[in-house]
Amino acid sequence: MKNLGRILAKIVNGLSYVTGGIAALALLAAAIIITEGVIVRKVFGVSTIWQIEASVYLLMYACFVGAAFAQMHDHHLNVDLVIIHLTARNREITLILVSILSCILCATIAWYGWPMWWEAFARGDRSASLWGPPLAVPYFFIPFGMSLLFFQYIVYIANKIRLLKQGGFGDENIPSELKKVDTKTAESK
Amino acid sequence: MSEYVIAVLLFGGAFVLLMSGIPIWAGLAGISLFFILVFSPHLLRAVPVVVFGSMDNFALLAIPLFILLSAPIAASNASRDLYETLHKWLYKIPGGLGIANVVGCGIFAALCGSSPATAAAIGGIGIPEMRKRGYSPALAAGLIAHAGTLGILIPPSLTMILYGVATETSIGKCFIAGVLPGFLLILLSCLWVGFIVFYRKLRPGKRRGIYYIEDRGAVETFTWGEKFRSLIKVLPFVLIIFGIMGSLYGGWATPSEAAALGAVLALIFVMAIYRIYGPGQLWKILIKAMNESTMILLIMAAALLFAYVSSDLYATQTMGQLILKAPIGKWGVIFLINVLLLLLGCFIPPAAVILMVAPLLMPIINGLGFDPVWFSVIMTINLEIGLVTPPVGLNLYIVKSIAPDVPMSRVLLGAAPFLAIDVIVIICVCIWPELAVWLPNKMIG
Repeated sequence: MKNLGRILAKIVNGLSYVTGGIAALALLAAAIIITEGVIVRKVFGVSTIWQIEASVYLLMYACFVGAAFAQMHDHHLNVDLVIIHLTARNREITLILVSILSCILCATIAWYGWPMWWEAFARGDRSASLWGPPLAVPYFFIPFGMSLLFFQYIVYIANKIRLLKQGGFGDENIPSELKKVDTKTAESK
Repeated sequence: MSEYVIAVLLFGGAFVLLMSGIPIWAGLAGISLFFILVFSPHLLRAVPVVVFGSMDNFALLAIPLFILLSAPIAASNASRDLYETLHKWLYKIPGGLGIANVVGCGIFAALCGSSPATAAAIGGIGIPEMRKRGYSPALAAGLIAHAGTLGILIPPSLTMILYGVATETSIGKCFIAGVLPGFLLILLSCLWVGFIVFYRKLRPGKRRGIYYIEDRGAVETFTWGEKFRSLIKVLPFVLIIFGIMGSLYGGWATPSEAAALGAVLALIFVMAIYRIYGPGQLWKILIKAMNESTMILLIMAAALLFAYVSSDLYATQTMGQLILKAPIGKWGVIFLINVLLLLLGCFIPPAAVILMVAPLLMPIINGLGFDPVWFSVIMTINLEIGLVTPPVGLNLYIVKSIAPDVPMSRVLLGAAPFLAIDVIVIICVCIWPELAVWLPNKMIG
């Protein structure tokens, strides 16, 4: 049972890592695609057809599917004004409770998201633009990302509970938005 | 149930839930889903469609792309070069080093839209340099904590993009509106630093005073050759700034397109000049930009869902009506809004405040006949103050991590005069709205 849990956690983390890496590349691709669109339009005077829509879909991929990767590294911003004043144990318990809440939330959105995708896929809906890509592709990102985030939360909660049972708490006293600013490198410069 | 009770329950519930330490996106989306479930369960099926529709917006791309623009610059030594250049040009003025720090933050702010990143990039070099040259720790730390906040006022600014998307105001106009007030803030801060250094040279303060400037007698001179050679190093980044601003103001690129161009240029420059082209280094930059983007975008999606729900339940409109009917006159309302923003800014990060409050305040601002572009500046300066006040002043934490030996009380005392300057600028923008709206109206019309 324990081994099974560890293997499942590894699969979820691996999946988040791969999709997260693709999300990072999607951002770069969006920048390049838009730049290309601007050059084509301004320099060659050709009107752009697919660039804007494609880059918006890449943005959606980065937003919803990248979320699991960000969760894996605990990158989602929260307001820790109150909880930093709790004792370490109570803080961990609060964090577990709100994570369970977030987990249910992901499940709900994914639950209603999959049918939306399936309908668009089965009907072969296309975007109303000149380019007209199948809508099933961007519709796929919301339920897929939310499902991935759901599993990532389960791994996160299981980890927290295990740590709590062992009595070891991570030192969570870093203000959450600071995690994204690399102060270590700022010091060494 | 009356609309007032629903409105209070909705906004109060969101506030309480957020305080529990739940990720902000989950808090906003959670309370929205809960209210949909209770009041209009038939809409539950439509939630993914609403979320999809709100993210299907080209303007939103400006957020990740400006983050992508600043990530490689923050990872390179660009801030050090910028800082050294400014120092070489300004060292003869009283307080030249401090002024170089303020101006450096202003220029760096024009490359990245985040305040903590600006404070970390310039402060990481600036605070040790200033202290080495005899500036009091309070002055050095307070100055950086405040000057870093310019990041969200001087374009490109992430909070202005969020405001523009949340309230359907022209992002380009909001950007340009921040320019003159930003200059005014820089100018007043520089005057204050120059004054304090000049005054302290005349009447040396005590060693333990808050603002002492010790003259270490270090005589530095730079030749003109050195000065001009240092300029070459920062030239590419100045070009990016002018490229972004020029294309925005010239009206031939939207903010998202300008951001994309800037991001591609910044990556190329950093690869060519600072020789950051190892796959590992580039990967780190991309991953960092992605993490930050997805975090903000997910909050954005949740906030738009929240706005949808609160307008569907008439909560926004009810609150707006309530405030509009209050017998305090339009400046009384603006004063109250300022106090509210200051309070919220002290507890919640700027991005979250904007997304939660802007759609709520917009009917009020429009109802009173104020310009939303003008209000974007007022809101941003308010949130800047919040960044330098406890308990959730991000810039304070940044400064503390650069100079851990300076007590928080000292940092706050050092920052206090600069906060007064912020308040002066808010009052100026209220008295002369042209400060904010003249430039955007002239350029975009």
